[in-house]
Amino acid sequence: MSLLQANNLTVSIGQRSIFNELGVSLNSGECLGILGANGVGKTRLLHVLAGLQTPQEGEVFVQDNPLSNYTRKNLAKIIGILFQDSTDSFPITVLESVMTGRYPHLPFLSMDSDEDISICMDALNHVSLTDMINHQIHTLSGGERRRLALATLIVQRPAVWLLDEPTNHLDLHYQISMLELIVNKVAEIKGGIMMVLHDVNVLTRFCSHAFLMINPDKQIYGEVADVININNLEALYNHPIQCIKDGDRLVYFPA
Amino acid sequence: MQIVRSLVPTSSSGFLAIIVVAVIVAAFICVIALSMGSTNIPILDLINILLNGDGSLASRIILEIRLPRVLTGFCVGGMLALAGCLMQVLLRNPLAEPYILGISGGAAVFSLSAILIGVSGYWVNLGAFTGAIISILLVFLLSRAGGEWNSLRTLLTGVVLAAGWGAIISFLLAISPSDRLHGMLFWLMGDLSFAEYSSWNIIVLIVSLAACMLIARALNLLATGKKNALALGVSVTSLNYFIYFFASILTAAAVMQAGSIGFIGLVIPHLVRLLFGSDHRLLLPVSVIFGGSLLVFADGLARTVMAPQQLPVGILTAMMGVPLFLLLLRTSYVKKS
Repeated sequence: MSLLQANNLTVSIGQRSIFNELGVSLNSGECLGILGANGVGKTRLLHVLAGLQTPQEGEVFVQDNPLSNYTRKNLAKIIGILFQDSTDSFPITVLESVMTGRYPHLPFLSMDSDEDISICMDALNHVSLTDMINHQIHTLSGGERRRLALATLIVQRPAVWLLDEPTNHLDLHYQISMLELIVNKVAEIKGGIMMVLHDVNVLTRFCSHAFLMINPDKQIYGEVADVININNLEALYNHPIQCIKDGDRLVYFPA
Repeated sequence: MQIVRSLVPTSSSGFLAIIVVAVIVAAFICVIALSMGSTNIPILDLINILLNGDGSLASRIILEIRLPRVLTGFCVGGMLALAGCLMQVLLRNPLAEPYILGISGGAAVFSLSAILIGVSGYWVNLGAFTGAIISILLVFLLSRAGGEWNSLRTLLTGVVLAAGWGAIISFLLAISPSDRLHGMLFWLMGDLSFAEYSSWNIIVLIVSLAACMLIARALNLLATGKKNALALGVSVTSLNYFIYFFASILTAAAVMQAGSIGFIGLVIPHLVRLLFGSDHRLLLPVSVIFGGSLLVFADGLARTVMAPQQLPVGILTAMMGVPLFLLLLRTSYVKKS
């Protein structure tokens, strides 16, 4: 089943055209990695697909229905998004923050049930934050904030996970273990992942498909083995790329 | 400092316990305020009067003068605190308070004009209400002209409008004869002595609190940011209108009764956050109770500290609240470090 599909998306800000007639789709069981130079509209694409921004032209379909047919709450049950960075203005604890992920699943006025709390504790356990449930989130480090945001997404339980640079602020160990966690969680529910990355090697390690945003009018889409190669990456970043082989794995790095 | 932290509840029974304690404290403060005044009435007599009024002088003072004033004071304080919580979420700004968008400024211009032309009582209040409504509509229309709701634009529109009202207020004060100035200054500082008891106050407060409790969970999300709230399923645009509507009505009703009483709407929400955390399901009702209690107690003092002269209650709310808040802020930072 197609989880998410967009046709002919055109987005511009003022006079600046971000992308034209872009098409992209995500099926259940897929993990799509998005690569592109700075300012090419990767984040904006995720926002459009999440329904946070309306495109000038084109339409997004969520499980084969137009996105605009969904209420916000129903949409949040299907699509979850991890933002590039987090903001906060009022003090809030780690547990309260994770609990916000339960919002789409709860009735109007309700107290947190034991079930809600155990769902949250379970998610915090996955990201190793259980000792910090009563800490204020502004006392957390960047990496801890990132893991907290992931726990919130786990609690939200969407079918489609849109991740904007999920490895931001994470140390080497957590970059891999968090992505493994995400991939496993999404595989359990037969969902799909679409993530913006800056590390080609993370993409080749975790993704089934790749979407290279070359310029506003040109994108390359395909299975990772077909589209990730030196030629395409050089065109993408406008920078010479080298590749070395480690067993079966190809590792790309800038020359 | 472990005590302060353990006040943050983790369960619904914890929520309930805090609300019950807050209500008991509030009732206690109201009883004390009833016994305060130029005629001292012992608390035991007072309770007797409240339970079975006997038509004596003391009973008439309590039931006809002090009780309506205490009830009005409680409602006004509660309205301001609730409006403060709402404005802070609406504008996602911890410095927001009920008057920040110029509602009290608009009210002041019209009620001071009423005082200037020599009418009193009811007309001053009606002037305040009219001014508040005009200001609310102006901010609403100007800040969303040709686009969707934007907190920053709303904030700037409101703050600039408030500055405009401020200039007109200064103008009115400058041209007013000295015998009118006293009343005007009292209005500007916030004063309950002109307040007229009306059960509408209680209805507005209770209906608003109930409505806001229904969306308390959504307010928790909105406080974490607009994008975040949207992505987690909150219809942010309609929620913003909802919040603006209730915050405005509450502020207009409070200003109409008591002029611009400062401090409560800004600091009570923060005080409650420091004590019990930021969950709006607890923050809203406890803020109402604390705001009401602080104003009732401050008004009791305003009536007595310089008796027979009455002070504007706005002076007392700040004088009591500022040290209380600073102390709490300090303890909470000591706790963290």
